[in-house]
Amino acid sequence: MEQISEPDDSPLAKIFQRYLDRLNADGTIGLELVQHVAELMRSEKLTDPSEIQKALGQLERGTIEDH
Amino acid sequence: MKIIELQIRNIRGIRSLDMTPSGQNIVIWGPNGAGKSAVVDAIDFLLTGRIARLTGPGTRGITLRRHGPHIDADPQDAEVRALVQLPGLAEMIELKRHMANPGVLIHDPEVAARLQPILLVANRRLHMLSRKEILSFITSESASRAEQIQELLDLSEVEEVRRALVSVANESDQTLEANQRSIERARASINVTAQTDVFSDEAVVAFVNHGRKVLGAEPISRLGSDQLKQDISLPRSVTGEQSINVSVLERDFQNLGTTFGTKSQQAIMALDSQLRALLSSIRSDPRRIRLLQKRELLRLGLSLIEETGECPLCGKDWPIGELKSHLETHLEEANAAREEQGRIAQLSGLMVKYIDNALASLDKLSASLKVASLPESAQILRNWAASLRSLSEILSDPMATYPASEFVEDQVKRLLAPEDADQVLNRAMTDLIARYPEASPEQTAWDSLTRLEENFKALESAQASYEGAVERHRRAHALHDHFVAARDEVLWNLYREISLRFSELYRHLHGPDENYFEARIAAEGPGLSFGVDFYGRGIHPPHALHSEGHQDSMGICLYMALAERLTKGIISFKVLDDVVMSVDSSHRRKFCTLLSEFFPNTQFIITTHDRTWANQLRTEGLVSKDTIIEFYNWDIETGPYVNLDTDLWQRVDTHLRSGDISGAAALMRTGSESFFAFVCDSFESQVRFRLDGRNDLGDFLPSAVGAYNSRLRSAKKAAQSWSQQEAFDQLNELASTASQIYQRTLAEQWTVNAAIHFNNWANLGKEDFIPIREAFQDLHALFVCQNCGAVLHLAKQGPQLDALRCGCGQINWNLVEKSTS
Repeated sequence: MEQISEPDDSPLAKIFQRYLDRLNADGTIGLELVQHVAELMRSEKLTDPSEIQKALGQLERGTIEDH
Repeated sequence: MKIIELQIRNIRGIRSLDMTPSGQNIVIWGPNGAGKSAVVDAIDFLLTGRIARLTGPGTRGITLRRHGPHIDADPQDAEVRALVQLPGLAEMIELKRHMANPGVLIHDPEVAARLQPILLVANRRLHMLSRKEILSFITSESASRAEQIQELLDLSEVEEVRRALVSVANESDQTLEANQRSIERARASINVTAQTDVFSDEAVVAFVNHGRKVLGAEPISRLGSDQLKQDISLPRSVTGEQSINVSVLERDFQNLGTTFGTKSQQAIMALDSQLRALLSSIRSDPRRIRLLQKRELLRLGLSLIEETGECPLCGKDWPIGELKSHLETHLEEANAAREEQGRIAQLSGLMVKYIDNALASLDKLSASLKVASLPESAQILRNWAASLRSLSEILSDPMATYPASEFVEDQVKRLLAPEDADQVLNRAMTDLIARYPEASPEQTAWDSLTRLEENFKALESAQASYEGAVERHRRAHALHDHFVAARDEVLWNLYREISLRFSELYRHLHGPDENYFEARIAAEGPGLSFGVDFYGRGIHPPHALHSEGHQDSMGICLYMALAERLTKGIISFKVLDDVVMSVDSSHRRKFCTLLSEFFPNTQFIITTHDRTWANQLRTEGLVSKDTIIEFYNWDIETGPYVNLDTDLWQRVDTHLRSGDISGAAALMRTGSESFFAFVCDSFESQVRFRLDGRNDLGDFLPSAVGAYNSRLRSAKKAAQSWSQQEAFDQLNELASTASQIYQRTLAEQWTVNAAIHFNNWANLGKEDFIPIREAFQDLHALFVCQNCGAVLHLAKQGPQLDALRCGCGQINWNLVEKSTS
């Protein structure tokens, strides 16, 4: 049976994917932060500035967790 | 997903309704107030648990629980049930929702995962279009149009993410600035300790090496908290850190004394006077303040001006180029004000340096006086320092509140020193000298290096924080910039695709009139620009020059382009709630072919109050006789009366069975009138002109039959010219059949005079009427494809007749003869 799912090429999904591609290609952002941003997107927390602040703060202290 | 069966019980104006669309298009027609929209509401409720019509502006006091069910029904008895077909799934799925529990869609749990994306799309109402939405796509302002379309695109989260990233980037700017200030303050402390006016490595190294020489150590060339006392052997005369060394503190007394010196006071006064004058000048001109506040908006606005000239903020139309010129003039003025703002920042920054310098000494002295048990003097200096910090804070944003009333010029030039500051400082100095003996040069050198070591630790800490803040700032801005770039890139492509599809649909609908029509939809910052070509005369807002009918067409085409792009077949049905009325009669056939040719796999559920339109949708083959439903005679007790049997001949027979010849005759006459009027239009046949437009069957029928025979003759000649004997024979046979049928309709010669005789059908007996009814049914059938149910129509290549065709292509009479040249 054909599986239906929220289309991966929805504008929102496309923007997020392109965003991650750009962050990865940047090379100076750091893989940990890119992974963390991806995690925030999945958990729909990227709209919360404090979550991003937390990620940047953890990164500065070298305590960001692997995802 | 397509709807196979639909049962509605006690929803809005409907008491009870069972429909079986079987995945096919449906037309529900009837007068206003007949309950058609209740079907739309029921479908909306089934899929979303809401009724959009009962929400939004102007619906205060309206609730789903109270106004969703039929007026007399209990919510427990109000429900919608549907049997639906999901893509790729052979078996039908039952969906049910009760008004008593609107948040719960009842379905087989095994299909929950399959339903989830469908319900997501349904919640964005991509499957519903009403006239209200059409207008909002076209005539709304740029920003609200963007909001509506972004809601359809489910892009509200994108804007929320962008705002969050802007907030983080702004915070990183502020942190960076605060760290820069910390470095400045640490350097000011070093300057005081090293007795230098301006921070320079050279001057500080010279001071350090002087102290090291006193202590018998080698000079150093690099500054750092770990370098200052490196390799120094503590002389015996030095007791390590001494709590109070008056010789070292003398520098702070000197520093503060210098601060009050005439030279310093003149310098501070000059800075303060200029600052006050500039602030006063700007504040006296509210327009300059507004320009300053609007500067960023002006810059953004200039970058967002639509090609059509429309203001990106308010949507007002401007002649092309004028808004740009207007904003540029304002921006020039704002830039001049901005230069003044820069000068203000520079002046206040210089004043803050004096303050930092004074604070470095005040903090040290007040701490030492406290240790020396001179609390009164210590408190005076602490209060002074607190006032200075307050002034420093205000000077960090002077446009906001400087000069606050408590900071008069005389006080500021003295850096808020108490009136008796000289006496306080002298007394403190005297008290310290009395309590603490003069230290040896070695002790003073050691204590100076110790204090400098503290100063450098503070500087190094501030620099480390600054470096972290720089990195955080860089990352925060990169996160924001990449997001905006990704958004613009994706939306640009998306809007381009939608623009192209929209233009294609609109060109189809408006045919040769608008062959070169093009639309430009583009994301521009927070708004969405929408311009359309007006007959090759440039891009204009859609509601600027086009007629209301054209705007409606645009709304439908834009919705179809958006919905097609976004539903991706997840919901394969679309509800067009009374929107087809927006299409004028000359474009209705095109609208039908637009739906059938461009969206062959979509199930359309169409409501209209126009019977002619409903019939046309049928004669164009968009719906069959089984899926055209009439609502009529709505009343509060029963809801609408529903006529599921809208096939003309079945309805005529219903009247005949009940012996109502008069009703049957009236129905056949009006039905035939409407049918042959449509045929005349499809065949482009000539009809007798009447100034009052009240043509009747006597006008339409002979004209339609004449046109049919004429096209048949043309088709035969064409078949002959191409030596298509088989086609010719079939057409010949058809001509014979058509002639016989027509003769049967003329069996009663008195029917020729329509004005009298079609009405006289009503005077016939049943046995006399039945042959006429059968002859007319056969006559109707001549003009209709038995496969697709569509009325035959002329196809053209430019002005030239090309063929006579049906909707599915089963009937296709070539009308073009082979060229003999």
